[in-house]
Parts: sequence; structure tokens; C-alpha cells
Amino acid sequence: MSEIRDGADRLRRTSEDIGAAWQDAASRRFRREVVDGLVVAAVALDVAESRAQQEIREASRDL
Amino acid sequence: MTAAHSSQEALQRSARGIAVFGAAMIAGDAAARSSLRSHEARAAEALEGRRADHHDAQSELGSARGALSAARTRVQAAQVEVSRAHAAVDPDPRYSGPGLARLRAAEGSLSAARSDESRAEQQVVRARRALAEAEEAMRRCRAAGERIHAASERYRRSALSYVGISGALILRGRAQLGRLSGLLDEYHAIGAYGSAPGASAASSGGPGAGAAAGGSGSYAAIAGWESRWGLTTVPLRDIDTVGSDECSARDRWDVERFENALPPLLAGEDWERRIDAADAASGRSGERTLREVVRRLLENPVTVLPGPPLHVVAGRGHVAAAQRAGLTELPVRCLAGDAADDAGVRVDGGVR
Repeated sequence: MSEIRDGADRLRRTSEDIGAAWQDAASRRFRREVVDGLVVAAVALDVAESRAQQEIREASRDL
Repeated sequence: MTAAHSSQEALQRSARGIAVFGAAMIAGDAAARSSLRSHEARAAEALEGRRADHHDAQSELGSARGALSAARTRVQAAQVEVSRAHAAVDPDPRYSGPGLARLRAAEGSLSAARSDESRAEQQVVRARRALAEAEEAMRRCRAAGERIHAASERYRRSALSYVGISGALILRGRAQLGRLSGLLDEYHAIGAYGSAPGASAASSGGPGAGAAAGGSGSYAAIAGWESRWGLTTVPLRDIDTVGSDECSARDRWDVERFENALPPLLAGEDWERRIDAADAASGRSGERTLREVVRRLLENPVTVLPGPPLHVVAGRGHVAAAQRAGLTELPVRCLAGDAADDAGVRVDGGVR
């Protein structure tokens, strides 16, 4: 899952580079509509997996 | 590296970033699912082990109960023999020796049988306890397996949703990057044959170059200028869909300038002076100036009949360009009342 977060971080940095270079609405929209959403999805997926693994670790004690 | 190359390189990096992200998400999800399947398999295997333990404990209890039953039968037989031996003892002490010997032997057998019975009873108690423990272990194991399965299912449902959302975002991102790349090419091409050298695209290296002249900002955030031309900003989704091939390069230019450069200049009474200053700073003249964009897009705006959906009676090229650029809103002139009726007649009459 760390690869997903890394990928999202790289993408966010790139979009920030573009946004800083262009200062325009199109790059802002790209960041808002695409990159921010991907970062949120990556974090949510990571959290979902961590939560599942934690629940499984606790349940495995009773196996 | 020139600014233009830098911008194209940034777009390519974004496209690569999206591709890498998509691949990482799919690989990460696959690895997580594999790990969860492995946990579920271990839980199922553990439950099988607990079932086997429970079966063994049941067998053990059955054996212990059988041994107890046999021990009790032996006790009863020994008790009968003691009674008989006792009855057979001769009351005359001279002849009572063999009877007493038989009685002592019978009492010894009874004592041994009772010891066996006691041991068998303890064995049954231990077997019952072991069975209860095996049942509890099996219950806990089954509940743990159900929790593991439920946690895995929750992850799978969440992942399905997040991966689906990401897939849609990646498609949207690719489309946007494609548009940005096309826009960049168009911008540089326009800059190359533009009427004056030093166009702002070349100076800032991107579609947002106009922002350098006019500042940047969301047109929706700058209120008031629409009323100057009797316009209303409406969601693009409320307008009839127009074929993407109905827009010209000039329509796309107008929409791109509108999105990225124009609205901040329109606020305030001195908007004309600011637009002229921005045009002068960009070095453009003729149809590519912001002044001309204002004339084409705001003074002769997209005109619609009341909806839903809003029916386009003028400015289809600009609507197509806005839809193609992914804008969410567009300023339009809405015809109402008699004007709408007149326009409706004209539309029906084939003027459209």
C-alpha cells in the first residue's frame, strides 16, 4: 500500500509543479478534480487495508 | 530547456504519474486481497483443527463413559458376590473358615471394582471438561474466522469503490492532460503566427500564460460583470449537448481565454482599460485580443431558450468548446417571454 501513497505523493508534487509554473485555471482544475481525488482515494484505500489487517490481527488471537 | 519544453515535460510527468499511480493501486489492491485470502484460508484451516479436536474430545468422553459403565457393572457383580459369600458363611466357627475366605475375597474384589469405578468417574469428569474446552475453542475459532471474513469483505467493498473512483479519475485526468497538451500545442502555434512577437505563452510557458497579464482566478468568484451584458452564468450540464466537432479553433481560443485570463479583468468600472492594457502587454492584435474575445463571447453571447434543457439558439461553437474544455459553467443570455417565443418561431422556421 505504501506504493500507492508514494504514487499519489509523486502525482501531487508534479501537479503542484505544473500549478506553480502555469498559475492557471486548467491546472488548478486538474489538481482539484483529479490529483486531489486520487490522493484521497489512495489514503482511503490504505486506511481500509490497515483497518482490515488490524481487525484480522486481533481476531487471529482466537484462532 | 525552454519553458514550452518544460511544460510539455510536466504534462508527460503527470501522465506518467497517473499511469504509475494506477498500476500501483491495482498491484497494491491485488497484494492486499491475496494477503486477506491467505488469512481467511488460515482461519478455515484452524477451524478444521478445532473441529478435529472437538471430535477427539467427544470420542474420549464416549470411551470414558464406556469404562465407567463397565466399572459399575463390576461393582454390582462384586456386591452380589459379597452378599452371596456372606450368606454362605457357616455360623459354626468350626466350619466357617472356607466361607470367610470366600467373603474376604469377594470384599477385596468389590473394593478393587469401586476403585476402578472412582477412576472411571474422574476420567469422565476430565473428558467432559476437555469436551467443553474444545467446544469453546471451536466457538471462538469460528467467531474469529467470521470476523476475519467480515473484515476482508469490508476491505473488498471499500477497495472496489476506491479503485473504481480512482479508475474514473485516472480516465478524467488523462482526458484533461490530453486537452492541456492540445491546448499547449495550439497556444504555441497561435503564438508562432501571432501578430506580435513575445506572446505571453512563450514567456510563461503554458495555457495559463494569460494569467500573467490578467491575473488568475475563478470567474465564478468574481460577481457582477455578467449583468453588464445581461448574462446569467448557468451550469453547462443544463445546456443541450452540442457536438464537439461544432467548435472552431477560435471558439476554443475564446473559451480558453475566458477560463484562464478574462474574468479577473472584467471586475470594476475600468475593465476596458485593463483589457486594453493586457492586450498591449501580450503584444497581440486583431481577433486574438481579449477585446475581441469579449466581443465574441460576451457582447454576442451564447443564447438559450428556457429549458430544461436550455436549448442553444446561438453560440453553439462556444458551447461545444466549453464542453470540450471541461468547464462547469458558462455565461449565457436566456431568452424569456416574447423573445423566447420569437426565437422559437425562428428556430422552427429553420433559421437555427
